[in-house]
Amino acid sequence: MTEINESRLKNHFLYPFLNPRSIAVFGANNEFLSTMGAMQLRNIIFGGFFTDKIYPLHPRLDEIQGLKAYKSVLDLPEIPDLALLILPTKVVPEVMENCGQKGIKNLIITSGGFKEIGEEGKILSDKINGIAKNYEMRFIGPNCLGIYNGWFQGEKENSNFNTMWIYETPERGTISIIAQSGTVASHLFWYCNKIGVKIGKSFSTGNENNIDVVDILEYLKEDPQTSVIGLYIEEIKRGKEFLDVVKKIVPNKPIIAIYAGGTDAATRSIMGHTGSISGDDKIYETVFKETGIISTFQIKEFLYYLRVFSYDIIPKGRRMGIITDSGGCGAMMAKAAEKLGLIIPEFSEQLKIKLKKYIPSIANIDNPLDLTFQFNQYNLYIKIPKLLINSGEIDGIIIYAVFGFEEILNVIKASGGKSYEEFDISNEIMRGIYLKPIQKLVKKTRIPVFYIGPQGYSNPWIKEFIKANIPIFDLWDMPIKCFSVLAQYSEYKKK
Amino acid sequence: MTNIDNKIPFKDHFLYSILNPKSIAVFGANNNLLTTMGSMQLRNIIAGGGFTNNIYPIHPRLEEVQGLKAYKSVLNLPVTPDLAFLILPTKAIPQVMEECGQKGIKNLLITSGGFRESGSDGINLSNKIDHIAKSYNIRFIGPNCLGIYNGWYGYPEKKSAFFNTFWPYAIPERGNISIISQSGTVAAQTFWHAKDMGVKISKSVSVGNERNIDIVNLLEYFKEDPQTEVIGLYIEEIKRGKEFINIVKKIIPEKPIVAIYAGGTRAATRSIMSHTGSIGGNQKIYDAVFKETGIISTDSIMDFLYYLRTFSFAQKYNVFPKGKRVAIVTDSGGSGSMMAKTSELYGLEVPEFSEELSVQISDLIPPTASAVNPIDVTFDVNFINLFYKFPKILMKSGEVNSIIVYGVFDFDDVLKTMELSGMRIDDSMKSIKVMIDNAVLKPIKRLMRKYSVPVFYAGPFPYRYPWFQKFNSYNVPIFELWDHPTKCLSILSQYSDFRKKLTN
Repeated sequence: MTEINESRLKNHFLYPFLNPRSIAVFGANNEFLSTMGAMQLRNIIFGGFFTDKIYPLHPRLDEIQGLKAYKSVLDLPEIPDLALLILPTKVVPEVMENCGQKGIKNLIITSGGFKEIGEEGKILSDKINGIAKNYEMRFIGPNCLGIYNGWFQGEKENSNFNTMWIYETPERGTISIIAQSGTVASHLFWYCNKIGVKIGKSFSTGNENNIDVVDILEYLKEDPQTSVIGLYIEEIKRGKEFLDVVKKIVPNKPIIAIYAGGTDAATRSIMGHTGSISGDDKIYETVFKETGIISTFQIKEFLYYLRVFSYDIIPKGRRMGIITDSGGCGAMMAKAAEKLGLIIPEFSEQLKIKLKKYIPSIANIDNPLDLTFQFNQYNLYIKIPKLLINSGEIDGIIIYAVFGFEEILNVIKASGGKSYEEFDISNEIMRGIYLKPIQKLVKKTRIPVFYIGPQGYSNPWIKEFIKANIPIFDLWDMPIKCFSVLAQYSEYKKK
Repeated sequence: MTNIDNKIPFKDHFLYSILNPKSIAVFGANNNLLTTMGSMQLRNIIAGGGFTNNIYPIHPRLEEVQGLKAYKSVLNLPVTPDLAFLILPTKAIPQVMEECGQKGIKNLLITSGGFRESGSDGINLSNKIDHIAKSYNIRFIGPNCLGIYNGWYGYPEKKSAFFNTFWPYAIPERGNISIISQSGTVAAQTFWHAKDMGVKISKSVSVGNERNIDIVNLLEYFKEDPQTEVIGLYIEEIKRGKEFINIVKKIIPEKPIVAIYAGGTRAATRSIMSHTGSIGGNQKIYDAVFKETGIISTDSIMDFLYYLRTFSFAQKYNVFPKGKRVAIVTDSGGSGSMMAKTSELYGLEVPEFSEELSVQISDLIPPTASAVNPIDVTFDVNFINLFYKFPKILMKSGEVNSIIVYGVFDFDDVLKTMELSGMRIDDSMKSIKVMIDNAVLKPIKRLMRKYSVPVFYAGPFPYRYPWFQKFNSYNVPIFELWDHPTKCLSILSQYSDFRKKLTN
């Protein structure tokens, strides 16, 4: 589904922002620790940018991070596709003028200190709008961190374009984020790597003087590398256009949104943050409901929802089958599911008879299905989920618990126990035997199967799930929530 | 202030020797650790390091189990063990219990399932084991449970031993939290997570069907146990309602209780019936009990662990906020806005600062930053300001009751990245790691105690990063991302408020 490049968007004005072939960087030096711009330049270099096409500008230094530095943008040997400004607020207008004279059309302005700080800032804000208009420039910001494009030179494996100062980069995937907060656009990358949220693009839009959420949504709508969109919103400037584009996007690409305004303190915070005046929570709730946007005010839910939608298996209904080796989490999941309007149906007699074959005599056959302690992994991973899927009685499955045996075997070995060399239960083999056949069935039947592994995300077996884009969770709160938003989206789409 | 490290356990109770047996007989373990749950359980008992030659595996055929001499019958043992641990097919239980009784063993853990939770045969068997216990004066935990974890096994004589009869092998750090759970999963399979995020466990007991020893018995013990300062409950059914309410009311003013009640919906009731054989009750009844007694309740396992950790900190250092006013300091507007929103949604207040306080703060932040609450210091590498000076000014002002600081990075990771990028990292930068101990973590804890104002820290790194582990090692609350700090503060101030009312 995913095309390697986004060439069909080549003529969109945002394309060179994401895929510049040359860049001027203002405000970087060699002091990583004290200068944000130095880190930002560092990240551009480490993303694999053509180093002879990065032009640091500095009034005094001749060389920055191993690159030749220039005194003025006017001295550059070519017109860069993009200029990145990480400068004291007051010098921004003059530098913009220079960029305009040089013929640069695209800017990212990181500097803060505009409308979010009051009257003086507003004057400056109007000024940079005027300059941009004069020279027909487009710019992202001010007061932003810019762009992360994980598909930059997509044909190369580890290439990216990262103007943010956060140096951690997520694995490449089809999730794109647009955020009126640099934190949401970039700080999440460590956690993304922990739980396997694979991000393709992330935009920090800042004050949106020139390029706003709507512009970027229009781009992502057409972008073949984007299948799910995450939004962090403090204010929507162009309400009507937002509604129009979102309505067109949601049936094809789900949107998850955080609206951070709506309370007194949040409004104060937002005023100081991007200078926006946030609105009533109810208005936003109505908009989200009408357009089918999934909303949350929790950052971890935001990431989990993005992740589950990126797997692209949308259930047909709300009926869940829960398989556990432990009653407690089954009861908790059943409760959470019913609270969220999901259905945990009782199994039919025919299905119960079929299940009987695989269930130890002490366990009762019901939904949630409690297998109690058993090491017959084949039943847990294959036989029972298969029966449930083929029964047509459920629309999704949760399996608790999957365990990484490498770790368990290491523990056993360290205790002087048997080495179990006769079992080849390396993760490689396990994946082939336990995951592949079910995933084939999942793709065919569109019935999502979620797994929970309490050993946590650092366990090598759990990492296999992440690698293979199979929904894996470390505890049992999130799977229910995730299934419920999948079902919600599925119903919206049907309408 | 309390210091658990100097605390000896509560000994004057029949549960003491179940939690701290000096000798143990284990039925149902062999050498196949992968396929027999009992083998893994024996392995974990050995790994706890508390026993010397006092573990007695009982096996009909094997001479040696996991390096230990095995016995054919409990009657052959050279001593009468303090505890017998049964992981056996259901049908064998009565006979083995009889033999234990004849040997004079008074305490049992019965892991085996297949009792009342699986129909009428099971119910008969249940009655049978009750009867045997009665005739020999045996007390037992279970059946249908995973048993016990005691992180303070044999303390203080034994310095770092633990007693773990569960099959999961992950061991959390030991602390002041004790868990009583009608689910083995909640009692044991949360340990990987607890270890990762610094939930420090004193004891965890999986009570199963509660044929003989129930939640109320354990609550009575934990009420008196100096090693327990916070209690977590997972409940599917409360058998002795009146006694439960009585004991809980006595505990809450001293030790906060966090509870999950898993019943109350139709599917949950079905699930519970096959799990422990209980009949799950009405949600409203439980809500009323929780409210009246001051138990903090949740339906989320993640919240459960976070709340326990929060109270563990508050109890250990006696830091309880005196009100609902919170200050939020961040290096990033987005997390500040979201926390401001959730604070208000959870019933906290994010007050505006007085003029004087705003001026004091403005002096320390860049001109582009925002000195209102939430404070957004923007990109600022002076983390001593962020971590220590702001909280100190805020505490002194008396304008807030609690503080959240977002912007904790793993500085080792940051420096490593810079070094790899060609920057020379000198010794003064490397000493930052040591500096944070002396310039932030130690003094902030002192201030928190002095003002009774909790400071919660958050940052974008997962817990496994060393700097986050460092905060955990100091018991300074640290959070990955920013969902839980406001939630936990709201719970903490709710409890503080409740406790204040009780003691006034």
